[in-house]
Amino acid sequence: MTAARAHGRRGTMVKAMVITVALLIAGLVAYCVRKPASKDADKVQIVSTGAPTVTPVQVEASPQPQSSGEIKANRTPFTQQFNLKPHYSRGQLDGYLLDPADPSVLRGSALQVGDVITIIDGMRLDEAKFARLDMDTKNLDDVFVAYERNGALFEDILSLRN
Amino acid sequence: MKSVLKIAFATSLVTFPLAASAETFVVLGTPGANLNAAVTAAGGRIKKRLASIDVVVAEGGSGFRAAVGGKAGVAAVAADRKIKWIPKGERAVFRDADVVNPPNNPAGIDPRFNLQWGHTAIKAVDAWKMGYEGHGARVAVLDGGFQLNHPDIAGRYDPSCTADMTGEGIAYGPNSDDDTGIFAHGMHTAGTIGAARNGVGTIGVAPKATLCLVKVLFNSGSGSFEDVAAGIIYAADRSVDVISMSLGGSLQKSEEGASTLRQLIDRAVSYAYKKGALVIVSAGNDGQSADSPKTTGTPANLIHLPSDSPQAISISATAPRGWGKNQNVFLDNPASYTNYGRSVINLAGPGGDYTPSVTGDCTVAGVTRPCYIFDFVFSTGAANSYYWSIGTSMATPHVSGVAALIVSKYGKMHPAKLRAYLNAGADDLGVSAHDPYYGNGRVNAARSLSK
Repeated sequence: MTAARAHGRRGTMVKAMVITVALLIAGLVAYCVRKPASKDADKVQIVSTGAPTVTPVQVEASPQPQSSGEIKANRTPFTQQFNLKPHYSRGQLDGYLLDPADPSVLRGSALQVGDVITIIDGMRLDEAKFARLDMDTKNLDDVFVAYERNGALFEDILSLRN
Repeated sequence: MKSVLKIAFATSLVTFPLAASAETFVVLGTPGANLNAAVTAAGGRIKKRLASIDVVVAEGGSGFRAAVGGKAGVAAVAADRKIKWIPKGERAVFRDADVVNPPNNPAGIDPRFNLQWGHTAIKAVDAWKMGYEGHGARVAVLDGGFQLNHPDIAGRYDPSCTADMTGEGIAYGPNSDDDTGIFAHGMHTAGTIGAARNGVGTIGVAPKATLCLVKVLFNSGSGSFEDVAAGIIYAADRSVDVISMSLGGSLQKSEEGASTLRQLIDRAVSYAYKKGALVIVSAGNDGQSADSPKTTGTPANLIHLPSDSPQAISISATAPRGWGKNQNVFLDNPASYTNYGRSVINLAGPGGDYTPSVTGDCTVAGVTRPCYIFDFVFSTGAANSYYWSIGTSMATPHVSGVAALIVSKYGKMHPAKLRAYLNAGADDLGVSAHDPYYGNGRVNAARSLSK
């Protein structure tokens, strides 16, 4: 019984020591992570207390995706977003037909599946313009297009999805 | 043991005192983030809020950047910096008594108009003859200081959208680094866009457009990213149709803070675009290609701002060679200094150039000078004067002026549509459809108004 009680006290002391060491390690880790890597690190002033937390420091990190102003590195290219297909009239290429797999990419504009884009960003959408369309639009939010539907011509702004 | 525990706990939260030599930082937030709390908790002091793009400018000590970096809502942070946005080489000017205070000519055309070959190149007069001189269009000019009572600028700007972002005051000031002793770059660009048609001096491309004059560069020609971004937002919030920025700064991608500063400018430009302003910017005067840096020697990791911003229209420069000798020469040679590349150049405009082989003296419109000077762009300057200069800074306001003429005809429009009108009217020069130097072409006011 006495031996058991002594064993219990030793166990409690061991647990206390383990907890203390753990807290000490956590504190040191927190200190190391937060310590600025500058010559002025000595000026760091410790003024507050609280539970040790280890928060990764983000300095000059890659910015979070934003709704605007970002380089659209991972955006689906324009010609794929809208699945443009060459459209011919009397044997001549007269534009590119919109046939997106997901018609919701046209939401917000008046364009519809089956419309034929003839002018984009002020320039005729011919083979040469089509060839560089993805590069020209890779970072744009939207483009002005002229399109043909049932023989009539229309204009609208077509927004690109990120 | 208690003391050990206390140290362990104490190291978990630290704040940094604001050092006497506090730096300025730009703190970019996630959408809608409360950056005030983050900055305060990191021991910083908010200097300026650019809430519309989720950015604050803060002052902080040496540890501020590290402290604020991990706060909730903070996407990125970097120390702001002042850089040269106007390369010294661009300020090659000639100014003297012959072109200071040109004689008033109330009965006829502005006496120095015949020095402005750029108007011929972009068919500005043809556009005027169609009845469009920029009336109803609002163009913000973000640049150095201005002389608000210059005879060709007074009455051309809207005081309610004219402001100084630098703290120096709206006027330009002495600059020992400039050939003329005064940094009047903003006067030159503003005059190219909107100098009055008043029988005095020169005429702007859109002489009836309303100018918003926004000083974002110090008299030294340098400027901070904070002020440039603030100027863009200021102009965007004042219903301008065009923001003309004849300035550009370069950063190495590998530089500390470069990606954050780029994001700052990108956000500001994108904000302006969403507010309905087309941002037209100079491509830069380094003679570098952005397309194939390895073969052209261009530093592969160079960022040029704001011309690299996704929604900005980047302008290269064109020039005649020997216009002073023969005013029928080709006006659209790519300028020797202009940056180029299909991946960056959208359009071209008259920027002037120096051609050493053009020698001798010439007399044009009663002004006698070395012939090569007449290949420069002539516009308004300091102290009621006028001067010649070259650069993509001079090309950009020509394009901005054409954009104003388009707005004067068709009314306010989505910037994507305005961009399309500029493209549609441009003269397709060089490699068909999209040339490394001309982009979609050199702007043509008359053609854009005929679309």
